[in-house]
Amino acid sequence: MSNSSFSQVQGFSPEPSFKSYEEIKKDKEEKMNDLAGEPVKLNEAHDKWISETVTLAVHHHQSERGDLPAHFAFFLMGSAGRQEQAKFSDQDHGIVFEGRDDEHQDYFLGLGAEIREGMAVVGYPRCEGLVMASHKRWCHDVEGWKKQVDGWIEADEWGPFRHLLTFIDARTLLGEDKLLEEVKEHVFEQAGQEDVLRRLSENTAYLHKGLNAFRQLLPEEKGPYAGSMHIKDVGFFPYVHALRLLAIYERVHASSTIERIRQVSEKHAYVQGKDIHFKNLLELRASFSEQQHAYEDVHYVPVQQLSKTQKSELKAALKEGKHLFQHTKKIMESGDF
Amino acid sequence: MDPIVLLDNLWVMIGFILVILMQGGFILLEAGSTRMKNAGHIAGKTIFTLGISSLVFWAVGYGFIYGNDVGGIIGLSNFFYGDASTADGLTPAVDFIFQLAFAAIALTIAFGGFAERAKLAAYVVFAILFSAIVYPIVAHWIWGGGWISGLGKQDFAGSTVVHLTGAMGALAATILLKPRIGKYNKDGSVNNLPGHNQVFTALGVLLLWVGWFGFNGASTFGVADGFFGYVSMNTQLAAAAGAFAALLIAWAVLGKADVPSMLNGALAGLVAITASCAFVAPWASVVIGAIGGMLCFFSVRFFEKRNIDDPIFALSVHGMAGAWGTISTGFFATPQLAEMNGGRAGLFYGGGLTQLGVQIISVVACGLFAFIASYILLLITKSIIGGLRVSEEEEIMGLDMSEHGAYGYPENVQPTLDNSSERTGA
Repeated sequence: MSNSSFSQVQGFSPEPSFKSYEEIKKDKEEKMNDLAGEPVKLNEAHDKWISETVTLAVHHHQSERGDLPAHFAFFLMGSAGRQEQAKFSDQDHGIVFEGRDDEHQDYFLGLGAEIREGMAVVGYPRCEGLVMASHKRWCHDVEGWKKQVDGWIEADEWGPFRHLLTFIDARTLLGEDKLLEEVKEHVFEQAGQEDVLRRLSENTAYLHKGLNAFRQLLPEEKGPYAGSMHIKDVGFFPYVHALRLLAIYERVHASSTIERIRQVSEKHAYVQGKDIHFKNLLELRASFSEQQHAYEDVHYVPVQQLSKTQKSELKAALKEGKHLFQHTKKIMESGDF
Repeated sequence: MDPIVLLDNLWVMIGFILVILMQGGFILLEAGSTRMKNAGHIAGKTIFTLGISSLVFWAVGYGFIYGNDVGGIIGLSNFFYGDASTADGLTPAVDFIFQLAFAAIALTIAFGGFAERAKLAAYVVFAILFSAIVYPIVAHWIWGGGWISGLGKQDFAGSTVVHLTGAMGALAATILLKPRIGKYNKDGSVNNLPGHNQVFTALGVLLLWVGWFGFNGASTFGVADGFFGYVSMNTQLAAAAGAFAALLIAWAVLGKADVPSMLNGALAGLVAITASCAFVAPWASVVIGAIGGMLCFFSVRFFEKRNIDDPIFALSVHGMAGAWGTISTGFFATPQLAEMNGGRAGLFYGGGLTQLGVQIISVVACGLFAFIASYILLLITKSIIGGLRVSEEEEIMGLDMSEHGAYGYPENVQPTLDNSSERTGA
């Protein structure tokens, strides 16, 4: 594919807006503090910085390895895929391309490596679990992806199911979205079966407790985050896990938890109104952004610093999240939709 | 010798063996509750301090407790004990050796407050002083005909004499030694320094639990009326209730069924029932054990938040539960059992506040004395050996290496601090 056809790939501009990853990093650092307190704007900004990084990486890679050999989609997963990133966020991404693995995978793995290093410079740490387009598992052609998804389901094991759940939160950031959508549609066909849904539900069965029997918040008792609550495990995950399962069942392509809530609420009355609580959690975390100085910090909120209203909202969100999670799990495992 | 009398002697001797075996329980409990780098030290010190306490008890301890009373404060005869007579009852030697085992337990409890940072020499000196002075004086007050026994105090097997006294020694030690490196951050927040082996800790608790049937059961000093069965039944019920109640309260408060909390609850139930096992009904044993277990759970959190680093939880398990167990007879002692074993009925049986008052006075008096005496003796120890605590370097490398020259787990622990010193030339 020539440069001219690259410019036709959706989302790409022929020339990057920034000349180096360091420039993107600088832009990110300059604007971060103004944006960190507003979850929606912050996620739009993350998308922009990552887009710019990927565009620059494509140009770097083309200059080294030649023109793009095929259309592709670069997609985000994890909190970035769900547009629920905090001030600091690590990398979770993949690539799906046209053509065949044996022809183009090597090229796109190289591009994935360039993106990985570029994002690291910009300030997105490499994923410790290797969920990155530079890893073979997360970089395939369309058929390769479908085959891999089938393999994950057939394996019927905890690890492959965890990969599948990660993939379901994929969202195209740059490139040909139809490529990802084709794979996702295949996932919905395969994973939407009752027995698979049940197994996926079992894979995320662990619920971190946020409230004790006396309805008191349960912050960390010891260690560097003593007095703070792990809002990711305790707050967000019950919603994320439940809505992901419902999204598979209802074939909802949207990856954002709030959007998923809106799309499944009509059919599943118990989900209605849960978006308010999830939004409260996002805003609660964002309200402490000034105290977040490292990646691990963004997962915690200091319980003692919460206002009475915040405490009340947090307790309500935890209670509703638990109910949402448990009810979803129950219907997924019983097959009684 | 009459067969029943012989059986009495045999039963108390078995009791002695069971109580000595409780030291094995403490070895497992303490080693499991502390870090790997100190395991050999923790285990080893329990053995040699058992030796020290035995020698001191023989030389002066028994005499201070059971010698001729002077002013209700102390006994002053029978030093370097050696009565070989075979009286028509419990022989003096059997009585002596059973009492010796209790003194050794109190000392081991006190050493809970030393864990992971006290010098070995501090163990040696304080073992002598505590065994010679602190324990014998409290034991004389309550069991040796001292001023508290004159009030009608009920402490069947030593909730106060053994457990509270030991715990007060531990409290004085934790205060003087200060917290272990890394336990607290500069802002006062607490770090978890988990023990290295919960299986050891659980086995330790089980061994203690079994040993308690010697501790309480043989405190009947005979088998003739079979009362040891009743005492043992109450002991079992309280331990069971303590474990279960602590599990439930930990689960409810923390959201997790914390294993160390449950294990501490079992011990707290045992400690609490030690005073009251011969005075209360079985249902009351369940209540006493359950309250002991719950009290222990909250007590651990209370002390930890106040910068009192108690790695083995001696203050809560033996101190708080010991105090509660002693006071509990003031509420639950039945008229029949009080008449049989001494003192008066408790508040809930129409005995009024008299017995409760005696129990509270004894807890306060013995607790205060044991704490103040231990504190002073530790200061004396400190001046003799030039400080109670090992150096920062020694604490980081672990007491196994710094005090004994070899790790309890040589394959698993590396003397990293030695290596870094070489690298930096420090």
